Amino acid sequence: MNAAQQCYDRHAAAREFRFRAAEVNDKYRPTQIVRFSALRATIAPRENKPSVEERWSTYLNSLPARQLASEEVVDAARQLWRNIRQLYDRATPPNARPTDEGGLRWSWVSGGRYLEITLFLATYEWYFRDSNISLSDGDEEVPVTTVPAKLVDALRKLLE
Amino acid sequence: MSAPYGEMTDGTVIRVGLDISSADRFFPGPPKAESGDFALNSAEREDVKAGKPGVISVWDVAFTTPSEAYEFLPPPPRRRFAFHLPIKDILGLAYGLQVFHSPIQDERKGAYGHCDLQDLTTSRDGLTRKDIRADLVAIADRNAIVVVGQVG
Repeated sequence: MNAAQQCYDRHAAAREFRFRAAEVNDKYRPTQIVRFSALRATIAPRENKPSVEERWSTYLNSLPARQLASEEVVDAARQLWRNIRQLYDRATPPNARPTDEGGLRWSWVSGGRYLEITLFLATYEWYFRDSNISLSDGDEEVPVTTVPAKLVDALRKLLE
Repeated sequence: MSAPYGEMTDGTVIRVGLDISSADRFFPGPPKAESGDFALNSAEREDVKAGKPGVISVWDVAFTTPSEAYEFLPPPPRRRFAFHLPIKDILGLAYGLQVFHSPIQDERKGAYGHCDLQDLTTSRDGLTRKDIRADLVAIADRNAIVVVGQVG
């Protein structure tokens, strides 16, 4: 390899490094990533990232195998989520975690407002707090087949 | 184990949240606090049953980093979240909460920054306790959240 070729390769490597750094740092990844090699430029298709809905579904499906919640609780969670989405189709998946009692805790927080749903099995409780105006609301032992209008209103306040 | 050095009225404390691995929590976006991150642990609940005030541990960022605070948590090691809470915001809530500097007598780094956040329970009904935790979540949501721990 002659000196000119080595110099060209070094520049190509530096270019690739810069592009990769940009790829890591760029919050909004480009739809296509251009990679340079010493001899040619190639265009690689962007890998498809799963949507939030897909990640949410994967998380729920994974819980029984990870012994974090039973199949019954996950079924109830899916049903409740479907019911919420039917009443408010702009609802985004919640922050979620298993509870010590074998249920699930869902929560949303934004702009000083907080909503949480604690799912037991056939029933759940919900609690809403608007810290800006010191207002609280909620209910206990709500069947998973039911979504109170006040709960939908609370979710709307958080997400709109 | 610890001795109160006085009430704090300024600065920022961190709260290391739920004893649950970050991998077992789901976040549609960036990590967020929830009420369980400000709940009493089992030892703290026992203290309340024994008639003591409801206290949770927080750490003064002037003396303790999130990673140092994490080292004081009981096993098993898990990746968890640390939430930043300006003390003025805590004291600004309508519940009369107090933050006391309460260093742990320990050689490890960060022990001096331990503080008690109280009183989350005494003479409070269930709804008020929920309100306190939700208001702390709202404060945490306005401030930095960092991941601590390397395992799980």
